[in-house]
Amino acid sequence: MTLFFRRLVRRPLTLFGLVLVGLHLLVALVAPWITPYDPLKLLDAPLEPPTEAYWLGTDELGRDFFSRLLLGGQISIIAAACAGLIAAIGGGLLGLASAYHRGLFDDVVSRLVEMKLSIPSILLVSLFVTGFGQSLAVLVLTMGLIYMMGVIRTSRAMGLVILEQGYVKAAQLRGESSFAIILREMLPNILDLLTVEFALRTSSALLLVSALSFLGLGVSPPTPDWGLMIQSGLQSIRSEPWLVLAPSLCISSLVIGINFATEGVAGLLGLEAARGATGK
Amino acid sequence: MTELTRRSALLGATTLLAALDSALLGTASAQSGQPKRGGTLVYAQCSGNRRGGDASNAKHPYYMIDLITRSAYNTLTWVDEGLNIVNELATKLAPTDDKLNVWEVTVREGVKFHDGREVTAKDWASSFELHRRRNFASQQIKSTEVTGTHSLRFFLDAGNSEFPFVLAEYDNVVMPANEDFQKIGLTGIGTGPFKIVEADPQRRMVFERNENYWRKDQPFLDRLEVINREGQMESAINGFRSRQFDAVLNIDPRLVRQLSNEPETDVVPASSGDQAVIILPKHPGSPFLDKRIRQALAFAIDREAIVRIVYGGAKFGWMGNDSHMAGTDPMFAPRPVKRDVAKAKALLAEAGHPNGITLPTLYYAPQWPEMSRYFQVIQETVKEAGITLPIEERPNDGYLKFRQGEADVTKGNYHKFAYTAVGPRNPGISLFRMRGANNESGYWSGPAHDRYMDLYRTAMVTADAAKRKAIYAEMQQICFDEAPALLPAGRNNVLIKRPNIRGLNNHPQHWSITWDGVWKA
Repeated sequence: MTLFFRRLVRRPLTLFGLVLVGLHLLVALVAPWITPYDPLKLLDAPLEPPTEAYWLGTDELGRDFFSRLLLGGQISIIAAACAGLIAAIGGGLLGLASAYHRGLFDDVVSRLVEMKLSIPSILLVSLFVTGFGQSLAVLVLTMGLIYMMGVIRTSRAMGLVILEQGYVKAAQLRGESSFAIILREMLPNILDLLTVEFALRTSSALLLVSALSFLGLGVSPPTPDWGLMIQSGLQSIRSEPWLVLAPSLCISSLVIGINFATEGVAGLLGLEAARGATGK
Repeated sequence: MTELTRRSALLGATTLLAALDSALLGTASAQSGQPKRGGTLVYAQCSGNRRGGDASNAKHPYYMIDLITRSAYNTLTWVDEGLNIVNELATKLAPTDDKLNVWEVTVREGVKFHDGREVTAKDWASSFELHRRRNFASQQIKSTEVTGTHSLRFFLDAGNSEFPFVLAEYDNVVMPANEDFQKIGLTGIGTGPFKIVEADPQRRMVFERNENYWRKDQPFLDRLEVINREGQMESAINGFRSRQFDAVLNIDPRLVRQLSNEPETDVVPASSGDQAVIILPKHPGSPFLDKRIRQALAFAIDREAIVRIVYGGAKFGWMGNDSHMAGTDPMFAPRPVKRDVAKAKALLAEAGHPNGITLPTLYYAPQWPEMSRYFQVIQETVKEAGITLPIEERPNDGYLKFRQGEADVTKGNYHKFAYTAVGPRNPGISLFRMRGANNESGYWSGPAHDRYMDLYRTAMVTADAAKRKAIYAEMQQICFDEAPALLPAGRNNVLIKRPNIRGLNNHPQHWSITWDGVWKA
């Protein structure tokens, strides 16, 4: 562990990424207590420029823009992290099962993965959201399902390697069930890979949530959300550019932070090859 | 090297003078406002039309992409920008007696369809066979009788003092007669200033000048193109900035301040426009069966805040009175009481909700660009009265079906607690929309509704406008007392255009803009 941290200190970009992610998570966590105003309250005239009272001015409805910005990452981060978690756990288990069982099961799963990979993610999410309704649960489940496909591929590849290991053979000889072997013998050996996958998928999901909110398919108004804020600020980009720039900066800094941190941590865990296989 | 001879010098000088002359004359024409022939005008339409057609009917007036049927078709009458009725293809229009249920019309002679055939009263009678079956305002027409080559009579199921306004409805155009009324209008042949040459359903329509148009020397444009950009106002405005479009119709009024400062941009507001109807369904189990909850909601909504925040003030928005009447109508009666949060709370307590109430989700579609802001303001302002109002935006596409469903109470399908838009019309048509049988009233019923409909029937047979005004005032008072539906505020339509586009007037009825006198300087 000490060696891990010593190596971490030698990677400034990784540290920078971790600090960025940490800051964002901290703000998202404490935002309800530090916002100067109620982010939903109609306080003043719409589109007021930044003043001492309103640090980033007011939005198109006269709400405090700074308060909304502080809270704007909460929903996106939660949705993206949940989707990343579903993708990592679900994809990990399915990939291992596919590697373990091979045969028809493996063929079906692999073809399904290939089919999904041929359809753009944003199109698929739009279809699901339109069909099943615009709710956070639908959004999270759909994104989780979509990102699961890439995880299945990498975990299946790792599973095929692990399957040849002696401890798996020993468990088979002991007569353990396939479920127990996958869960107890194989899964713990790909946890580091799944950690990296989780981070990468979360970063992609974050961008997707923002894009969907921008398109009106993600988070619904009046919830403060960076993607939604960019969309409504776009109308006045010429006169009040900060309404677009500030949330854009928040999204990009968080995504950059996750990517730097993930890359560094993956390197430290010796997972460059696996990371490459995710198709990042 | 080419030699400069006296001959070539004279030729060059003549050409230069001719060019100068043409340029100067052209400028003079433009400055003097003399209309000029020629040119193509391309405009984008931002308002949603939920009746857009498919490949089989896209040229039919009922399914045209932006409801601006008047580019290809004509009606007997037209409502002008001041909401006054004027004759279009009718030259004379009058009731036969004071029962007001039989109206005689003389139609303009010499009017030709796009295929060159002259329009007769038979074509009108045939067209109204379709309209009376499909258009809500024309359902009162029992039959028509052709009384001459250019005259016909309309027989109504009851008197209607404002029948000329019914004839101005955008559906009620003339199309070539066809014995099978279901086939009428599918060819796209009308009498309007332009002929339809291309129809890409729900996306784009292209028109060319009608050389046989009945208005002498009009239209001035050679070609007219409309591009559908409903729900995509940003893309429409960017198209305008990049000169893809000469005009953009029905933009968000909030953008006026910004667009007024942009080069080569004229902002043209209309005197009024659509308002939002919040439908309060009254099916079994609905909280809106209780009048006090409807009233509480009506008292809690901050209408002034909607006008101020959503529309940027009274220049581009107006407060509604929970009837379908437009604020600019001379017979409009403003709500007698202002917002009253305490009263709203008291009504809720009386209805058994002393700690507030959570209402079902209110659905809306971005039919107008400002709708998201509109409902966020409502949601936030009713909170003060203890009303929790969840809102959800649905896409324009399929919205009508989504909110109406099959509306079959026996099957458990109810019309949703949802928004729809309604345009400004004459009081007769506007107030008729709150009838119990119409979904916009949430299928309102009861003694107050019956009284409302009695008053409506009386107004329809009252020829005296002053007496009608008193009746309409009482009907609006019933809407205020009963709140069968909520119509908190409306917009003034706004379009933007290039300064060289002349003669393009905006209209409170976004479907009634005419292109006959529009020209390019």
